[in-house]
Amino acid sequence: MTSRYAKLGRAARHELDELVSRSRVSADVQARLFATPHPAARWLWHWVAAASLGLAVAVGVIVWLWPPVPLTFTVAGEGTGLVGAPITSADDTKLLAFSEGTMVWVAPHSTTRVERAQTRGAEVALEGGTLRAQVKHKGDTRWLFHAGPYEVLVTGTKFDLSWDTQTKKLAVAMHEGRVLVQGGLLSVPREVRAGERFMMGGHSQEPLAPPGGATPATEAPAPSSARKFNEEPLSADLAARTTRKGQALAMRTAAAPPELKPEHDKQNVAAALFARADAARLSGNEAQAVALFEEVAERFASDRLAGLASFAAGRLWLVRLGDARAALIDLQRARRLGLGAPLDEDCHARIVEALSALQRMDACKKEQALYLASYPRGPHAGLVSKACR
Amino acid sequence: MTHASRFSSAKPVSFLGGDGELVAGLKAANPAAQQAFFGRYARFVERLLLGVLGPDADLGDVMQDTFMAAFRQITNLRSAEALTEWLRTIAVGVAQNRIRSRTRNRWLLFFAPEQLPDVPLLPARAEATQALRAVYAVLDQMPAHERVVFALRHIEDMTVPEIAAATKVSESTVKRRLQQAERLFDDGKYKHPALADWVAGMEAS
Repeated sequence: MTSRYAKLGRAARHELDELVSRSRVSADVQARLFATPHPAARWLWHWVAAASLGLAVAVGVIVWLWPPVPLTFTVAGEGTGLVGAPITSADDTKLLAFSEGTMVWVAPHSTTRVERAQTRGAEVALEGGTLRAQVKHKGDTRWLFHAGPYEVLVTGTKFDLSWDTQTKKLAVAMHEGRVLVQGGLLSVPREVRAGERFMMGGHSQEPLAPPGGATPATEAPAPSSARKFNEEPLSADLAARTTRKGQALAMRTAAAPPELKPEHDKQNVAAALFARADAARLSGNEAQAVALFEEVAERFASDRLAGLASFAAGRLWLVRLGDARAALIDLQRARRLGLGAPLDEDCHARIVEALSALQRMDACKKEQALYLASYPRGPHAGLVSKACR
Repeated sequence: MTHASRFSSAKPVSFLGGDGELVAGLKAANPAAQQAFFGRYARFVERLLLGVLGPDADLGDVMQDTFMAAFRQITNLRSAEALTEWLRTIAVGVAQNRIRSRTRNRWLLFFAPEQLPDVPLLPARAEATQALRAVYAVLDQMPAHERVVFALRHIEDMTVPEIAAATKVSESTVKRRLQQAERLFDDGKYKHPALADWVAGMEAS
């Protein structure tokens, strides 16, 4: 057995020796293990490295010496924008896209103008209407918005800016970041932060706190001559807008901005809608305010703001818009949804007033009796007792 | 490979001195010593690996791994006189790992190892090379320990004590593995007619 394996081994060794004698494996392994750059290749690599370094230095010098390039912007659908040229939007929102990433949306029936474009920002004048700005923040960003006699200094933020040329009202609604408002009637600059709204009109300064604590800021109230953002065209009911009621009804059909629509956070959406309505009310845009208040009451009936919103809508219908029928619907709903004691008294009194205006005397006297029974010494008891005649 | 050949000067670096100086140079990571070491022992290692593994397409990789391991482990070498045995131990260990990994990965292959192309053999000795391939086909079916012991004993003609040192096991373990390997070889050789004829021819001569 051993002899047989010895013979087999000898034969195998002979074969293997033959293989090794003609093998190039050792040479290849040596080349792999001890590969050194060929002198020519080494020279080539040195040359490439030196050239790359020189190129990098040259590029750096050129960049350093190159004069700064001012921002450019395009107007969506119109091409490159011109500095100083007025940009007026008719029925649709116009988007101004700046080269460094800043976006400015010009609301329908609004006019703006890029007065100056610099490397670190631009100066934009809002001559009338509303715009929304989303400024790309960088370390040395400097953006300035002019609205009438006011200036809004921005470092990096998202906000709505409105300027009513007739009433001379300024409104700033902050979404993100902060701005500095100065000029006009302001003796000192006023900082407006995210979630705040700031209004200046006539001789009044009206900084507004969002209802119910911190809520997302909403759009600034649009001047009467300009429509808000994100509203669908009211093509279905243009004629209706010739009357105040029709205008309010038409506004109700307008969709809320997309960012206010998510249903997963109804409370925030309701608060944001309420804030928008309140801002519209304070800016004198009662029709829009009513539409938004009623939207809160209808869409978010279980929300704590629903009753208050319905009451606010009813009061506007009754006092500002002169529609007692619409007012009655909203006021009655407000009481059903629930109000606090003082407001419930007020609401009840206005229901009596609305019924009286509608000459529905039976209902009026019934509500009058209920009111006086509940609030015999109420602040409106005198007026209520004289109604229904 | 071609790339390495094109961009390498491949000039042998002269290194004068015996194994003592060579080991000292290796421990100092002297490039000249490493090249000299490779120059002196490359054929020895290649032949040893070929004997254990048989004609293997990855012989170059295993050889490279062996020398890389030797360069790394040179500090463990106590005496320059043991350089050859020490290197053989490393080579056998690397080969054994190679056999194990080849066995582990065999199920991943689309073709059986014997179906894969081998390194080119000598056409003039076709019968013998066919028989040699059959020897390693039988060895491929053995566990790694038994296969290595069989190859070292009968193909490399090493003694049992040398095998024990190279595989780092006792001599009795070597003997036991050798018996097991011979039994497996005898069982397997009849599955390969070329090998059976080759062995019969040798027995008749």
